[in-house]
Amino acid sequence: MMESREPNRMSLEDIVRKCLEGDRRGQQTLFTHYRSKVTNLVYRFLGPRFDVDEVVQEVFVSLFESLQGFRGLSSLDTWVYRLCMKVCTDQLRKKYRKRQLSIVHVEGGPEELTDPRSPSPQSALMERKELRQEIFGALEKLTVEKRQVVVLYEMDGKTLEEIADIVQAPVGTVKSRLFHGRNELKRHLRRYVES
Amino acid sequence: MTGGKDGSIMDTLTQQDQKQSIQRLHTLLQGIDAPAKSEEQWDRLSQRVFGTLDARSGGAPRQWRISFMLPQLSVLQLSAAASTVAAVLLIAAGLSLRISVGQPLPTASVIRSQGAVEVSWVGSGRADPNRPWNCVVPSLGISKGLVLRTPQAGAVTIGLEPGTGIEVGENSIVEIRQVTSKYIAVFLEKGTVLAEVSKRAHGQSFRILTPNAECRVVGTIFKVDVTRDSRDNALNTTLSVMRGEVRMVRRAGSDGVSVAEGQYASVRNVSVTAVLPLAASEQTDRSVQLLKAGLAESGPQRSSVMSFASEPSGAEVFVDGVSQGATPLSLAQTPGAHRVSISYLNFDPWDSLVTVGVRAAANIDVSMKRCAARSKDASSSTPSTVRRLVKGSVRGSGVAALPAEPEPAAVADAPEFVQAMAQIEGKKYEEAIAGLAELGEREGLSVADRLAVLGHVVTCLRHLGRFQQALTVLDRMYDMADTPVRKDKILWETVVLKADNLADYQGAEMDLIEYLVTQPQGIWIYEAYTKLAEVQYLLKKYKAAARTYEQLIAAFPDESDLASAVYALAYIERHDLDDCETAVRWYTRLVKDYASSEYLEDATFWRAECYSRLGRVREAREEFQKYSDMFPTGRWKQAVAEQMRGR
Repeated sequence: MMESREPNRMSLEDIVRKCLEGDRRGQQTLFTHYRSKVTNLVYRFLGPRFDVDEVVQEVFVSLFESLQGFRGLSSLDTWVYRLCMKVCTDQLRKKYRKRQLSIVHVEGGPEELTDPRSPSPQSALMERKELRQEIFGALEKLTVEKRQVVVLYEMDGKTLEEIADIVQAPVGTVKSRLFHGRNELKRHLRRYVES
Repeated sequence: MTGGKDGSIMDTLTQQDQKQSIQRLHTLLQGIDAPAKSEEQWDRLSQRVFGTLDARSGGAPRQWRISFMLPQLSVLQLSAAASTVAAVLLIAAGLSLRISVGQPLPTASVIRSQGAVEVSWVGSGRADPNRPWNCVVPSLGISKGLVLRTPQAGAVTIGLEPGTGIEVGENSIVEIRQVTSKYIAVFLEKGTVLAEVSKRAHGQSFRILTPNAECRVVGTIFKVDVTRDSRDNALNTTLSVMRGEVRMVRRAGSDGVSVAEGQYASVRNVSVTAVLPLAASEQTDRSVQLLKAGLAESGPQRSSVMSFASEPSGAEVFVDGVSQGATPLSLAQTPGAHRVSISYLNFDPWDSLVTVGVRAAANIDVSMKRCAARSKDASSSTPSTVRRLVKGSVRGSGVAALPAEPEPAAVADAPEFVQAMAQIEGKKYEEAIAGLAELGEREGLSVADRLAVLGHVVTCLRHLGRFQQALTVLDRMYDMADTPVRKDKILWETVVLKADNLADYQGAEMDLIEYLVTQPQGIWIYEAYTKLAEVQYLLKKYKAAARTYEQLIAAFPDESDLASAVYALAYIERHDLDDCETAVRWYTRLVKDYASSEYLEDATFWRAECYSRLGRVREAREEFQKYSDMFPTGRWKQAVAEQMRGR
């Protein structure tokens, strides 16, 4: 599948060239290649309280509109991640979005759908949902810079050097943000992290 | 020195702790992925991305416009595709392409045809009266230039894109003028078209054209009729709107009227009549239900075809318990086993399990037998009113889920049985089981006696929490049961036990599907649909759960409890399938049809929230305001206030 295959340098150049020519098939190929990566990154960075599809759409529209600005100085991956981070950060700064957050999760989950006579089957599911909420709650408490580094390192598996390239900061700064970010997260998620 | 040593051990331990906690943190964070998307959802997202790009740049890239149609398979489509390309080239040679029409819709196809529906293709000779007509088959791809003609009592349902389609009524002729992602236009020469149209994005258009009018759609359900007055031969186009709003304009000019939900208006020759309230019609409601049910499952998964004929014709066809129309009838269908029933007044119903393979066709031709004056066998079917009463009496009955049946006289008088009942009363379940087991082994007991005894054993085992053993006994009872009603009860009990007590959701799902297929008239059929949807939800089969709720809603339109199913369906669409458009439709149905239900408040709020997520700011604001007015002290008042302040 296109998504799981790393395009080689040539084919990537071809794709970018086609996109720059306005070829929709080229754009579609690029979309297919990055759609999962971008969606996961947006979801991990912003959490389920945002309309992830809306943000992903914004990322791709920005990507195609600003592709002529890609000069090949960094890898396309890095460039896409950087763009994605920028769009996500912009979203975070639109404070009104955050207000909607408290609504979305209060409704609960499948317990509304099931027979009240049988409460037990949902407990595992609810625990997972609760854990996920707590993780996102803890991530939200980090500063944007620390959150970027934690998400990219711990959740997306990027190296410190790659992150430094994406966030355009020295490796030492990235290390420091990671260290403090981790410590804060551990504090917020104490009940899950401590034995 | 000692202190230093202790310090170093402590340091090492602390470092180990640190490492472990970082590892745990890493493991926690690693498990976070965005909800998985189906190819269809990715396609929708891709359409949104490229739609926005096109809207900003003023049109799709050139290569895209004339690319798409050739991969289609049928000869008819190939010829249509070739002609379209030729038409585009002709236009390109002489003129320029005036409108950006987007990409053709490869999924547009016939879902269902009733009666001898015919298809032709106009090509360049629209007026050619001698053009050939062929028979319509389900799955036939729909492309520009196709003409469909329905006979008396015939109909054809066409899925155009997810959530959008039309049903062409009897004695109608329609021509597909354009069918692309951006522009769908259907010309109704005569007859009736019922349309359901999902919300149009910016730049998308859906139009029904008639000889003297044009109906432009925003996102709605509506019907267009074209008739000629027998007295003065005047041409009449009538537009009836069931949901949303449609603009109707004269084709001889640009003036017209907006027809809102529950209204109709006509264009008679060249003048527009007043907009009037629409009278309720059972026939139209039924057609809307059929169209919605068809669209809910349209698409590539319906790769097989089922054709039904009967003698006499006009018999009602049920597939998997859902009415599909009258014979002769053809349906695009999902491959697999389907329970088919065909019934006609005063004829014996025909019922069978029909399996249809992938991309295969099943032809079912039934010669029905007129029924003699027959006494209704209570074991083969139970009147629906009785079913409702039985359901009402057993819902929420807790452990003793086997419905009460009079104890067979022979066993009820046996001293061991009387004693066991007293022990159950006194919660001495172990003793009761011992006595009942001995009684159950006695020779000469009838099946009914033996089942009654084992039924009480199951009750005791459930009270003792020995669910696996209860399941074994139920299996034995199922093999022993000699009537469908008894099998019905036992199968249902097995399902409840697996789902509620053993958390064996996969097993429960299989049993429930078996129950729905084998017991279409079963006592627990409503509960079975509900339970199946819940189990599928717990198995994270969100689409399947939504489909099951839709089947339930279609099968029990008058059920008083339906509000909970509609709410659950809306919840899944919004929360798990991320389809706010569909969620809005179900929340609207809930608000409209179940205004006195306990879900009204939540439905009002979540509909507003869906509008907000869809970027429909005006509607969101109106809905939030409505919520504030209706529920000033409601549970969402804080959230609504924040939403209102944030806008």
